[in-house]
Order: sequence, then C-alpha cells, then structure tokens
Amino acid sequence: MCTSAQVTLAHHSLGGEFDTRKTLVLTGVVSHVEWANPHIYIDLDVTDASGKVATWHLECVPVAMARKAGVSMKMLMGNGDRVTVNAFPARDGTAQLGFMAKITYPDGHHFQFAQDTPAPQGK
Amino acid sequence: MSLRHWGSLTLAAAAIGMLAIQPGGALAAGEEPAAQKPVPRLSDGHPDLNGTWDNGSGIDFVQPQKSADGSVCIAGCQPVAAAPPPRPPPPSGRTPAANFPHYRPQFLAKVKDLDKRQVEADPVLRCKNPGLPRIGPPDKIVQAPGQMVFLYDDVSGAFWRIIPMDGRPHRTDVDPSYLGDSVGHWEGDTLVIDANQFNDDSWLTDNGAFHTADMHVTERLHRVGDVIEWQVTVEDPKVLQEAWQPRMRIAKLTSSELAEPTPCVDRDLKHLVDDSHHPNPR
Repeated sequence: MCTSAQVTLAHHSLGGEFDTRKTLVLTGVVSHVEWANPHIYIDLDVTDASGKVATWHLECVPVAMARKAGVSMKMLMGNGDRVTVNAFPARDGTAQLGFMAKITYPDGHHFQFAQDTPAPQGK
Repeated sequence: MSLRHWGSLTLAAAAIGMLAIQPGGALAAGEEPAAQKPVPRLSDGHPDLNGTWDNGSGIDFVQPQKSADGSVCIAGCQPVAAAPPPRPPPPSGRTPAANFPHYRPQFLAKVKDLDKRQVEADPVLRCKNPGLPRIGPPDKIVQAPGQMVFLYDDVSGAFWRIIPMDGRPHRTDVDPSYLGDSVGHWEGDTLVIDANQFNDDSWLTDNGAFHTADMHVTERLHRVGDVIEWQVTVEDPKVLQEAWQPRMRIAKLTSSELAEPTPCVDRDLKHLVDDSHHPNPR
C-alpha cells in the first residue's frame, strides 16, 4: 500500500495534449526515467534504419498511480533491453513527444497506462 | 495532478468524483475492521494520532490489474467481472453531502470564468501548494507535547505544518501562506485546528472555487479505531454566502512509510491545444 502523493485530480485532459485516436508503435531502449509529478516521463531511444538515434519523450501516469500499482522506476527502466511502446503523439506537432499508453518488455510482460485502442469516431 | 481519458479512467473518475474518498484494501483473514479497533491513547489521555495515514491519495478509482507474468494494467484495462466492493460509510456515520461552495451572486461570473479557464488558471496545475482545505488530510502526523506536526506528500510536492497545541494565539507577524497559521486544541476526543492568514493563491476545490486571503478554516480530526475522519469548515464571508463544508475525507492507519518527496515539474501546459480538463475528486 502506498500512501504517497495525493493526486490532485484537476488537470488537463489527456486528449487536450495527445491524439488518443492515433497509436504509434515505437521500438527502442529506455535511456532515462524522470520519476516526477505530475507525470512520470521516460526517454526512449529509437534507432532508425540508418542508425540514427532519436529520443522520444513519453509522458506517463503520476507517481502515486505507479506506486499504487507496484510499478517502480527500476521496473520501467528494464534492463537496457529493447522495448515496444504504444504511444499517442502530441497534438501540437511537437516531434518525438507522446503519451506512453503501454510498454512491453522482451519477455512479454507489459505495463499499461491507457487504453491504446483507437477510440471510435463520429459520435 | 492528472488524468483524463486514460481509457475508461475518465468515466471512472467522473463517476466517483462526488463520492467520499475511502481507502481501499480488503481485510485479511482474521483482521479486525479498522474502525472497530479501540482508539489508542497517549499518556495525557488524548487519542494517539501518530502515524502514517492512507487517505487514498485521491486515486481510489485506480484499481490496477496484475497478471502472473508481471504485467500490470493501471488504466484503460479490460472490465473485470466483479465490481469493486461498495464503499463503507465513515465509522461515525457522519457523511456530509458533497457540495460546491455557495458564492455570492456577484462572484458567480468569476467562478464560471475560472472554471472555463482551469487549465491556465488553476494554481495546482503549476505545481503550487494546493493550500487548505484542498490538500486534504495529512499523510503523516507526529504528535509531540505541545504541538502536532502534519506532513503532506502531495503531487505538487512535500509540505508540512506545525500546529501549536499549548493554547497560544495565532501569530500576527507571519506572511500569508497556502496552509495558513494554525493553532489546535482538543474538544473531547476531536482535534480541532483553527487556521487563518492564508494567501489567495489556491482554490478551495476544483472548478474555479477561489477564496480570499480572509478565509478562515476549521479542521476536525476524529479517530475511530484505525481511521481518522477529517472534516473541514471554510468561512470566507466576503465571497461565500455561507460556510462551506467539503465532503468528509477518511484516512486509514498504514504501516507504510512516506517515500522521498517527488519533484513536481510541469511539462505539459505549453503543449495543450485546448482547455479540456477532467473532474477533480477532491
């Protein structure tokens, strides 16, 4: 049981910053976890076919939510293995900025932070 | 601070937004309900409020789902077959209805405007101290002779209050602050804290509920078994038609210890493309 940070639930909507109708699938290595509020951020180094590395900055849940779920900074880091991340891109067009809906590690275990199935449109 | 559309999380948050926060946790076999345990007392006869208190952190609606392979779903999970157990009422049975402060008519437009512009106007979105009463019950209480120490581990940062219990009056030489100047006393088994000298840089609650620097806050903490009931009365007659009592908050004694404070660094607001926001359960 975690008693840490009270989460002030007055925040912007996820959809106000990220396009939750689009899910990007990124493969890379977690190079840094910023264990901070109001949101944890991870840096994901993604290498393209030419060998060029681009670092994605991916927002995640608040620390209290991660702690309640038993997910620690070390667990998010993994062991330097390649991971797969499902992410929502930033709506303002900022490159390599997204929300991490799900991160999957080489052995198949994963942490899910948002429903990554595209929402139905037209309603 | 956080949350909306984390899949179904938004609906879950909205659905419970007006409910009293109740720490979760099923009882282990043979475990006595927390509220039925006798209240321990210190040598002075007053209830012992020492300890770390789980007030739900405002995220009771988060019900992580764990799998055998180590996977964890925090939000946007598949619905579970069994609904979560109903929330028990506070041990004393006192449950003030959730409400919103009643503003004087001339301030309703201001509240409406602040509500509309919440993502740019709400101080806690910029990692500021939520202030009383929005910060909620303390996460840890240290009860010492002549004073109480309240520790808070909030999403906006770590905060503390020193509450003299020796009968002294409020200080008159302090600057206005988010948590104000506090003095406490016992009324029977209830700890009563009187706080004033606030700044006006916090909100009472969500949705533009501003207050003035003349606000006066009275907190009542009553221990029942291993549970503390936290009730607040806010008086701000310049802007409120009547005293406001937010919903009662419940905090349960826990063996967990507070972790090192987490820094609060907003990186989102500059990227927002609209002013949508979500309900605030506190």
